[in-house]
Amino acid sequence: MPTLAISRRGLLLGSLLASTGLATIGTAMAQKATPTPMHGGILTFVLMAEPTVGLINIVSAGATRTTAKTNEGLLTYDFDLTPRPQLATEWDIAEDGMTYTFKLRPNVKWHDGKPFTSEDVKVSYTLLRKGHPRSQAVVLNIAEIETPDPLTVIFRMSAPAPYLIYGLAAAEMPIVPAHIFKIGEDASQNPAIRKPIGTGPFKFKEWVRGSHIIYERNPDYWDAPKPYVDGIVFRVMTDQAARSAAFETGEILIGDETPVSYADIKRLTQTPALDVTADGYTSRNTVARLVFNLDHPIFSNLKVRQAIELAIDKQRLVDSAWFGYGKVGTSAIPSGIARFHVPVETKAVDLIKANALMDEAGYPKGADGSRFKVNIDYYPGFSPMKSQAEFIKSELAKIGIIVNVRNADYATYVKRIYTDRDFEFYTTTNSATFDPTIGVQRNYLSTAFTRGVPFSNGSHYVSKIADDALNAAAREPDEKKRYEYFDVFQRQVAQDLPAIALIEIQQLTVFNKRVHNHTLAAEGLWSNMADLFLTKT
Amino acid sequence: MSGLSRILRTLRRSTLQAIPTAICIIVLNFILLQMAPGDAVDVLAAESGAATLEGMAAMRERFGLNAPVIEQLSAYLNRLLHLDLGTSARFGVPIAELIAQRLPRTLLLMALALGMAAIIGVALGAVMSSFAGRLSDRVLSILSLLFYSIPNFWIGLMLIVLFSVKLGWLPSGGSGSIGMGLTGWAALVDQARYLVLPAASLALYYVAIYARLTRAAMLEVRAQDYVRTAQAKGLPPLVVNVHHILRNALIPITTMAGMHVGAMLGGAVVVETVFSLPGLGRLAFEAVLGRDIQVLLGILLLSSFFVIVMNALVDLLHTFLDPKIGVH
Amino acid sequence: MRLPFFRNEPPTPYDMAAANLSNRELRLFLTNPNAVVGLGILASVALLALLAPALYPGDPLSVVAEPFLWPGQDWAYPLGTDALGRDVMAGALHGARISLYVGLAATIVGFGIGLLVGASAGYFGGRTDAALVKLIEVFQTLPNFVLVVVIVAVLEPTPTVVAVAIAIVSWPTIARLARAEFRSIRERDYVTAAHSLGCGSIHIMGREILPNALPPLIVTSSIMVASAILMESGLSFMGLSDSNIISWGSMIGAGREFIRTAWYLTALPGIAIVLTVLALNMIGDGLNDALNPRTQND
Repeated sequence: MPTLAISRRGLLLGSLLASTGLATIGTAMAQKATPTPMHGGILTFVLMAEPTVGLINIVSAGATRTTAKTNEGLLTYDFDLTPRPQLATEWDIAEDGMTYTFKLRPNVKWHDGKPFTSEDVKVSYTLLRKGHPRSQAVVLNIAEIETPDPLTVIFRMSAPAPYLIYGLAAAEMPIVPAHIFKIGEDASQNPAIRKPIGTGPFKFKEWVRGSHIIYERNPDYWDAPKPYVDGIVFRVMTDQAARSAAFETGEILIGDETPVSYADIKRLTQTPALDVTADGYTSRNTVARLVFNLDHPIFSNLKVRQAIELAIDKQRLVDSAWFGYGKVGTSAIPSGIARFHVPVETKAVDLIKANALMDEAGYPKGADGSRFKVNIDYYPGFSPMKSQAEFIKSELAKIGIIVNVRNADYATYVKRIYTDRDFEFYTTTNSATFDPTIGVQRNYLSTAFTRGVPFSNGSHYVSKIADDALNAAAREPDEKKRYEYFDVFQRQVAQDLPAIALIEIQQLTVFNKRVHNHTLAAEGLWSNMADLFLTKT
Repeated sequence: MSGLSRILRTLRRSTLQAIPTAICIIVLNFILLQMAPGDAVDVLAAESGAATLEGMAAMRERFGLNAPVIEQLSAYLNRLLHLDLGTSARFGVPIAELIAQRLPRTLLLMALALGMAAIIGVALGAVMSSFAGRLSDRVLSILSLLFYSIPNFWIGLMLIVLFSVKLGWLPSGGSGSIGMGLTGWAALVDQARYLVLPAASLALYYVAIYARLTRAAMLEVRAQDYVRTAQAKGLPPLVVNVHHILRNALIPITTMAGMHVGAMLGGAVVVETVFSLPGLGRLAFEAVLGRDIQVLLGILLLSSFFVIVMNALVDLLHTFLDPKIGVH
Repeated sequence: MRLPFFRNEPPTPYDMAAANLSNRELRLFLTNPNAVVGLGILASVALLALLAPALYPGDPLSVVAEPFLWPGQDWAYPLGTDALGRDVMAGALHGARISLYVGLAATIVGFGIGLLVGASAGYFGGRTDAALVKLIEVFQTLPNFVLVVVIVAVLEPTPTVVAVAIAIVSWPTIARLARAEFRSIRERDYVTAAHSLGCGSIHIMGREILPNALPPLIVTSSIMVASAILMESGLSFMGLSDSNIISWGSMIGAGREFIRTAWYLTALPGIAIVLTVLALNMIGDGLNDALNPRTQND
């Protein structure tokens, strides 16, 4: 098992302290003595968007917050991504990375009373490998799944997958019962994805669409006396202002991925009942990028892209649109993936040089001081994205680029950028996840240019050097060698600039101080919440 | 002819007349939404933060989005014939079920708003007409114009500032205390607490309309012969007011109220957003953004039938209110 | 559907004597205190909108000061600044331009469509009438705001698209009125006379009927402007607006996140909307009193 030299959490904290002065975030929890766990109470957990296809991520990716509560995974992770047992108690990876053996937890029962066995794992991973839009990549190299006995599972690989062992958490890799799901079926049509049956600490009770989902305590949970709370009510609140109010009134006790406006964080943490933490995002690594359409005549010109890189003050962007909650982006692989991060995009703002580059590129300033007019699009799913686009507009005005910010809903955005490719440049957020092969490569690999598919290679970047490096890193078991491949990749991207790494977003979990032990794993609130408990005050 | 059979006949006649209108609405909106960029699968993919080409293609196949528009439309109309509203692409559940979950709340919101507007509006209008031309009439006139000029979402926000933020009397949003297991009277009170501000925001605009309608109608009716006769006969003013004048004034008001039912759904979109109420208006809005075409069509269909039924009921009410209509 | 509420029944034949905008009506209008106050407010709003680029040159969306300055806290920014530090006063003035533009454009387009449909239905009668009445009915049954949202989703949320979308849902009001007017005036002697003189339909509709049918339509159109402004603000509030342009509705939408602390961000643009819409409604009221003496009281 590779171990990390420095804890990721320590790095995150250090960078926070250095960059934004938010010294209190993340440390608040450590300072306080945690009371002893007690039973009782209902946790109200806010969902910013309602799960669509189902409540477990077996063939869809929109239910990360609900999945693990009912359906557990093989492993869970420490903040530094060290694997810990969940439904697997022991695991072994062969030297060549071609065989994974998992020993399963005995005496675990499904909510309907049937025993949990290796067959369940086989069916689940076969379904995940076929249909999970995000984590399919993690398990793609599993060629065969063997179940020599009810408590042993063996993955035979077609090629090494050095990231696999970090990607087996429940939220993305849930285990579903083999007596309900069948290999080869269209799992999205199985009623059990809307009324999940799992081994987890909570059982499905009710889903009123648009309003709430109720889970109740599983009294027969294998890890007794957990879980501590009597149930979880997921409240769907699509409106940011409403969420903010609900936190203050105590109607909502917890929410992740910054459920309130960044501008509101400071005030909310000053109220006696509320606090925030930056922990629990180790495997997400959300970044904001500015992506150029390399098929567009203007932006196919490298000098134009270089000029734009020199014109955008990323630190001011962090401070304004993100209210200081983030770090300046320095590479296609964010610093959160510390094992492979190389800070290569660190040019200081230089408007003189930027203007010179634009002149060289063949776009002189006109009589009104402007060079040309382009549209910028932004991903509509995260509220600071609009301010970010507006910020870029004002920065680029300084070098004579007139930017028109286009407001689009999800459907228009996807159609425009990925299907019709009727755009100039756009800003988007991406989860770089826990490994570049899973979260980063999809944006840069030439074969990942897929029309109609969001979060693919939107710039239409084609580079043999980058391709070779990424492909080699994907199947290289040795971490040091992988680092070298990723180093080559990052330098190539910094040179070619198909996209600019703008920000490493600081995601925050807002919680009521009555809630304890909510963030104990790298998955944050995506965990099964068996340890979570509530106090009266 | 008995009252009941007359009611049924009127309802049946209006429903039959409504079918072409409803089909026009369906076709118009179907084609409009087909022209909108992107489809439900694009939205699902973008929202979940990841997608694969195969996954998206499979979903399109399942939702029938690959078929030519005409085929999709005829398939939809065919399902409607069998009283099937279809399945939501977004939520994977029958649309009838989705709407049924949301309908009661929106109906309650509209009924409360319409009720509030009618009671306050008629009272205000009656006062205004009694003091026609005097200062209090003028002040109330301006007030009603003001009500008419206030955006419903803005007054909703201001009510939140006052009653939730400053005074802390009422919740700022949501649809009720979930998971508290409230029943009976407590549940009703709980619901009412959550609905009073949204209903008031939605009602304000209509208060103004009904106040002014009442005022005008009462002034007009008062000038008519049979009212003068009643007054001359020495009937007490209150009886004259209530029996003759108000009764007649109710005709234009109920006519308008019937028409407002449809418009209120539009208002509900905004008000439900302000108060985070999971109702039909919000569902319609999200269906547009989510390109969940059949959900929107289902809601529009329901709302147009609702408008038609309301108008039929209003017609019936008129025969009761105005004996002159009932003669033939 | 916003019908002019001062009419308590579908439009009836109009009194010829009051039909033309004569001096008497103008005097009546200008001596109506409501109308004068309304005109005053509207003129001020229009003036400020016109002067906005001169008073606050540059993009009102640009960051100029520290965020969350309350009104009066710093007189350089009399209405304060928003969450990003943008000048609320600059936003309010520039926002007036959008509101007025959308209000007027939507009304002009809606008036045009409504007049065309209503006049044809009323004048030609018969099958044309039946078909057009059905069309009006379809649009009146649809929830307006939902249809506008659909149209804006199909196209792009630019001010012009928003104006056209609002026009598409508001024309039936004018169409109904125009139909009733044309139907009744069509039967008048002088129209019959024009017919016998061999005048064409277009000539009769445009020259003979239209001038006499206009007054009630004008009254209604002032309310349409008000209604369009309200609808635009609702759309912007819901996020369906052009990101490059500030509007009152979008200011409210952005401000509501901070409603618990910085409620002035929501209150101020709202007051601007209310004042403008109120002014238009007061003018409509005044016009009605001047042009339609039948509904005058006492």
